[in-house]
Amino acid sequence: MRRAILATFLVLAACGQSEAPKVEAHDAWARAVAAPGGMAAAYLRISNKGGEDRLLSVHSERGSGASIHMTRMSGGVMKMRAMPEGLPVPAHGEVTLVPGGTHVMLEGAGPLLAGDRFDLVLRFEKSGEMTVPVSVVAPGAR
Amino acid sequence: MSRIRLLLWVLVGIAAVGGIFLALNPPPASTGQGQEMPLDTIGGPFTLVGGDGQPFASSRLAGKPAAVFFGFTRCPDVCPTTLARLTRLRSQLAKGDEAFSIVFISVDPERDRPEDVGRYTTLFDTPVIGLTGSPAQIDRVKKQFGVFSQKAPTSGGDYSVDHTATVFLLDRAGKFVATLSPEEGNEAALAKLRRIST
Repeated sequence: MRRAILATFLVLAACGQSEAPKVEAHDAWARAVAAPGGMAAAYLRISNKGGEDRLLSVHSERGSGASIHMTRMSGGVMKMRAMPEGLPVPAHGEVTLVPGGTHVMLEGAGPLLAGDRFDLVLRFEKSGEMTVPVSVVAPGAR
Repeated sequence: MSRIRLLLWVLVGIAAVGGIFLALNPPPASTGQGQEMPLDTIGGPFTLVGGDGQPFASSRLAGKPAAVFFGFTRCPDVCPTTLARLTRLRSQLAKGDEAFSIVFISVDPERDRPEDVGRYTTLFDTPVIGLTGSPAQIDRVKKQFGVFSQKAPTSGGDYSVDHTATVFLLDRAGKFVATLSPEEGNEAALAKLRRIST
């Protein structure tokens, strides 16, 4: 009996580890930026219908560099920090990158005009690379 | 059963005492990390530099309420998000651009030149007043509003700026009346804006 339970446990553990992630990126957008060389932020939703994964890095065809950042509020003070360890994508869950939270910071990406589109390449630990089109929206749109 | 009832009454008693304590000792208003100040000393007259490079005295805001936000133009997330929210709230008030002024004050005077704040604020299709100044001018206005800011180095040798993200609402006479916080719902924010803009 004990052996059967152990075996079941090991099989379940093995399944949990080896299940492949099924990651998709949705609704990527960025707010318009006026200044040439200005900073921008891109937001999106990452859904996962499989095992866990991790967004390791981002590459943008606009600007000089893209990186994953998190904004935290503490005592009314806004702090923005890089996430060099990447962004975990939970198994059978999703992560949303939203204003005031986690975002992709795009250095030197301006100007971005409402209606523009550009590509972001997301690099995941297990799912590999994925290209997602980003729509630029009017500054007050969302 | 009666023991559970007794326990519940004890809890009610504790909650009531706690409530009375909080009512008698309200926590002091905080506008930022380590900076607590009495509400009636927030704000006051200031002179900074406008997007056109000319001096901008706060007396130019008089006659209209104002929503004042401190930030920096290289801030990609919270600053444009907050300004965008203020422009949306102003249009939801349906009283036009006259309802209240939206004022952006840089806490990064070393990098934000007048033309930078000028260009930053032209982004919005509705008037936003962008202000910067000398480091001394910015320090003074930060102290007046109890605003905290501090450079936070980034990996590329560059820096970001941690800063108070509270919006300060001023009445027609330029007197501080309330704050808006990023976490606050739009309904609560609209109610405050309605109050100062009528």
